[in-house]
Amino acid sequence: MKKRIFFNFAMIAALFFLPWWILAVLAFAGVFFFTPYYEVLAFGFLADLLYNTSSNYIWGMSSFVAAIFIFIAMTYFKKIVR
Amino acid sequence: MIHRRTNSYDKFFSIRNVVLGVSVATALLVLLYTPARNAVTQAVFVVAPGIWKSDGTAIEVKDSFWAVFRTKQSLVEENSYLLSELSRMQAQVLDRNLLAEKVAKLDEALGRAHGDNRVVAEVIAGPRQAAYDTLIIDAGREQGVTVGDEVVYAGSGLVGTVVEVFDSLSKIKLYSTPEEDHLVLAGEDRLPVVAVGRGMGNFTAKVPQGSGLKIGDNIISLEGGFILGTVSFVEEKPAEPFDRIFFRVPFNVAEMHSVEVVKTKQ
Repeated sequence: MKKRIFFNFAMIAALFFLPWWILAVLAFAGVFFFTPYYEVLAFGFLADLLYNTSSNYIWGMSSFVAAIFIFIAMTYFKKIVR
Repeated sequence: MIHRRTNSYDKFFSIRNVVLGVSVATALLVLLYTPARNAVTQAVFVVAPGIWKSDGTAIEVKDSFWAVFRTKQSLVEENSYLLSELSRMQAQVLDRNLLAEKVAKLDEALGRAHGDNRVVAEVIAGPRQAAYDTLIIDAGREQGVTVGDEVVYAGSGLVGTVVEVFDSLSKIKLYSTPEEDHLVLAGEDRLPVVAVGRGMGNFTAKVPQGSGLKIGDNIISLEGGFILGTVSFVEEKPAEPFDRIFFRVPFNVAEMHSVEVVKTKQ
């Protein structure tokens, strides 16, 4: 549980201060190592609210859609490799 | 004794999955329904500035500690700062050329008063953090910023337009947002072309063959005469009726520390 909280702080720091691709890498890692890592959806949602605009791709919710994709894809990937 | 078998149907509609589904549907609804999205974004932007500004405080603390051990690292940082300043200065030089042209034109059309009301704002988050061409600046409704105001860098480098305004923050959409079209004027002949954004300050446009556009020509906005970029490459294909020009803003959009909002409402 402590690891998960620490990881969530790292995700928050990445969301606000680090390049977007680091957040993406952390999101993949989070879904892979924590079961089930629902927080990734919240971070996708927050990323859209903070940085995206509704006039952009996919009505400005591309981060959230990407988070859903990461969540589903990594969940299946985990089933395959474990 | 009778045991109930848990089949895949029960598993799929477990409480956990139902809660997850409802949460995802609510989030999608919030993102799609603009008033709801604005309300939630307003709430997020109450907390977010504090977090962004904490980065500055953390950097100050770190800097004061490492100042004792000034080594190669400090030189690298200084170099990076000087490069960003150089980029800003280059944009300002272009600005001066444009101003000279403007003055000449104004002399011709005597009596035409020109002046705009600007707000200087600090960039608190930019394309470095976001995968989108957006900026968050620390000027908002309280400073008179409104949706649709143009945002410039170093005096006349056109950056983008205000798309969302909060009390003391605004969200800027860069003109270079991928697939965004803008009508601009290219070269000395002021050839009207449609510039298409390619992200991070890069654009492309199709121009008729023999237009005479060359590397280094300025691309100017239709209104206000702001610089949108300088031509960096001209792709000529003899088999096609059009040439393709590539141009980019004369500064690094990821290194902008402050911008100016040109207020439309005085």
